[in-house]
Amino acid sequence: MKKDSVQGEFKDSTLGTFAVAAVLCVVCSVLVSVTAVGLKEIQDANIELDKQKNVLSSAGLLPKKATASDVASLFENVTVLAIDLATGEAVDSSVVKDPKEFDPFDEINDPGKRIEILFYAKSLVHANQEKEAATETGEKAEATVEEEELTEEQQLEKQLEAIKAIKLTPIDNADLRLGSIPFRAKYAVVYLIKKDGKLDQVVLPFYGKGLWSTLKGFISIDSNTQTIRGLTYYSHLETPGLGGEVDNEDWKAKWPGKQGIDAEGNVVITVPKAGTGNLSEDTVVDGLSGATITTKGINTMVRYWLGPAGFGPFLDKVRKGEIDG
Amino acid sequence: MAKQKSKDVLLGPIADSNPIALQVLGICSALAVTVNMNTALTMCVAVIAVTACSNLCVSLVRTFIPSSIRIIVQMTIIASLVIVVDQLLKAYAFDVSKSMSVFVGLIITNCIVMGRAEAFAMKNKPSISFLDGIGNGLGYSAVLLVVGFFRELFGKGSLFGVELLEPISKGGWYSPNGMMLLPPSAFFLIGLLIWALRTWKPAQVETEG
Repeated sequence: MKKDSVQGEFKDSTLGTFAVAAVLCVVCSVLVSVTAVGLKEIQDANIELDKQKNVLSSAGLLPKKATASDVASLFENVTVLAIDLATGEAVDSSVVKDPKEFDPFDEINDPGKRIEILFYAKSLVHANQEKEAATETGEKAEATVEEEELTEEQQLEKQLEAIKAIKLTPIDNADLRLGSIPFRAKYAVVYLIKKDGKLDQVVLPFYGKGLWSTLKGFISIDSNTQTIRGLTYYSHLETPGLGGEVDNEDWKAKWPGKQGIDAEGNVVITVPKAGTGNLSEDTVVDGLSGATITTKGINTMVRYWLGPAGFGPFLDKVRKGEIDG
Repeated sequence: MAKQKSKDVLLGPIADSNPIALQVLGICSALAVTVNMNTALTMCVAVIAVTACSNLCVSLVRTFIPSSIRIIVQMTIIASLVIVVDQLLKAYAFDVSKSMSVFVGLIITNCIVMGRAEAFAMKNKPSISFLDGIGNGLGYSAVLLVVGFFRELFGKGSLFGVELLEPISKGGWYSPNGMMLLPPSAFFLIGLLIWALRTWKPAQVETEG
């Protein structure tokens, strides 16, 4: 006890308090950094493996109880490709550094990199209207000639006017909007799966709002760009037993073989409220019973991402055979 | 205080002074991670490890801790240990750590850990403090596993992911009780558990007023 009291005087002094705090901080931070750095490699491998499993599972290629080496060998047939969503063209490493580590949600949180979904949707509609108007009057060629004579100020003014026109364009096509989500990333990473040396299916990442949470998943489309090969959600916080049934194997089994897109590139798949759709049609996937809002969300996000504002331009390229894996 | 028997310290918290049932600490995580047995068991191991190690560390340095910053010191030790556990889980039990998401990190805020560090480890020798940590971790685990057992069995018809009662959706006879999968059901179960425990050991009943 005596020892304690001598120590006690020092430890409760200001100097002692600072000394203890400093030593403690150093010891703890060393401990934490050593574990974090030492285990990083194993953790990253786990995250990568998990992602690969989800990609393969949506493509219907993941066997039950697959080991890490199974997944690795299956993934040899997979090409990871970063694309620009607006054009559908592949982008190189100067734009997306490492496709394997690309996370769209990093971009969405960065005001400089994200795209305003509603504005983008309106500009799509606007471009369409302009195209129609131009073909009617044939004035488009003239307009381009004039542009060269404008001063910088006038050009800016013209751009502003164009933006204003786009902002005012009404939009009634729900498929061009991603529910209540305001932003999306400019780029996306897709997975091309080959079979016997030919492109067999493309796995597209997608997400959207359900009832409580943002659901994130993968949807796989056949190389004919029409047939859905599978769908998996890998992250969501929907109600267990209701919306959470998106994880139910029986429900997921309804997707493969359905027609997602028609030959012209129009999205035809719908996910109506449970039990209300004509289930004999191959463009209808029954919704989840007891989960009306989750079902609505799934319908919205699948139609958005397969449509012209989502992966439409990319799927066009696949259809034309410009993407060969 | 210093002459407590190891056996009492180790096993006492399971029924006699259970941290959840008697002291009503650590309820929040008990609601979150008991949907199935796998996550409940992992949480138990994690909490036992953290309580035991934090008790040990705090007890080892107890004579050096200035009383003015003792809570912060305990907190720092606990937080560091929790991060280590979280990192280990992410490296070696990835699927489980994914399903537990933030709740591993939230062990930091589990009142049991802090409570034992402040109430026991600050006043006792390292070895006995370590046992006290394990004991309280076990007490927490006992409740978690009982709650997890009922929630998974009645909510999903399975235990540790193995199907026991075949649900109707897969062609069986059992209609799963969806409420069991939601957090409130853990409240009901813990309430019933406390009732049962206090009927068995009337000494735990608090006097009115």
